[in-house]
Amino acid sequence: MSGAFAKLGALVLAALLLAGMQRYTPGYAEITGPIPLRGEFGETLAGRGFSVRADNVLLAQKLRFKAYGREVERDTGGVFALVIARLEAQPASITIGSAIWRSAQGARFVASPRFQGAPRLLGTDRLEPGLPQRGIFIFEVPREAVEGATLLVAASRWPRLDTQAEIALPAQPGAPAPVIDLGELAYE
Amino acid sequence: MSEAAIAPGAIRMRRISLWMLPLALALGLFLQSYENALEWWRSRELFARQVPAGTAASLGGGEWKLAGLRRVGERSDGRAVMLLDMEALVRDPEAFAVLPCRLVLEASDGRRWSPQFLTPSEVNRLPERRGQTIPTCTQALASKPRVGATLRISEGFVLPAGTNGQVRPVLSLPAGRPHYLRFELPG
Repeated sequence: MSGAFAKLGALVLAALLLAGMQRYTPGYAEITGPIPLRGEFGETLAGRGFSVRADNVLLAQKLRFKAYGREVERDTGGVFALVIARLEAQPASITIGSAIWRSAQGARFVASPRFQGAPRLLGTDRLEPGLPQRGIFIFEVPREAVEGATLLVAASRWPRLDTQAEIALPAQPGAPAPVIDLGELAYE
Repeated sequence: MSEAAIAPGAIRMRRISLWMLPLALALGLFLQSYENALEWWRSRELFARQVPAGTAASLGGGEWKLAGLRRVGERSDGRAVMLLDMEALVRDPEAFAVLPCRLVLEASDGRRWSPQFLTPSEVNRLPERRGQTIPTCTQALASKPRVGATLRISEGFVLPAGTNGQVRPVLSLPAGRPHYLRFELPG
């Protein structure tokens, strides 16, 4: 009788084990997804192909800049979020193809494509080892996506088995300025 | 049913099956992954061949020779512009034409600079380059030259000013990997 119970117990245990494996085994996309590199605001994070440090966050309702010899002004129904950051390639030349503003609610906003030609825009020029770039990432986000956001930086839009720096930005960056001129911004 | 009822031959077969299981698993793993392993082997730069100054070395269907590496300009922001000239003699056109070409400058600490996509203006302003169009490495490979052709190849680099004289050209081609070439500088 006890042998029958032991067999039944082994069967139940095996079934539980299989069910657990089926439920909790990560999927292929998860296994081969980005390798997160988490850090704080103002901290230099050194990933596989680049290092990044976010130093300042500014908010604005309008942005003004000079591009291709013309004065340009952009406004938004939400708010422009500017992250002043420093990027450096290590150990080889690399292009940073992705900067994302992830809100506390999990919404992801890619860097705005409305600022082509603006000065000191990060992610446009290739990075070279030993030649760090200091500049800005610009995002256009709803006002409710500002607080508690995270900056995600990676070499490609969908990094696979590669570094994705995740920097926790200040919980409350302050009130948006009516207008910021990118040519007069203090980057250093 | 008692254990005594099992025939001795069946027990032997069970043991053989048990021993064969790891072999079958290893074989399955090999059959499933050998193409990936081969791809990894062909894509990695694993074995460097040092090329003494002034000599040519064979790689990816061609004979490669360093013709010159010099600084052609320095910018106010601490960047130096360097010009690399190479010569290639085509031996096997089919292998030679396989893209892409990886021609970089490497420092002793492992840092690597890729060539600029657009030729730096300092290079275009050189008197000996006026009116000339010298192909980059990828352009030379893509031109599908014939056997015996000698190609002049040129690449421009932007790197920190202090690294002048501390970098060496490194050439890696798909048809040559996992081997690649590291060129010694004269002097």
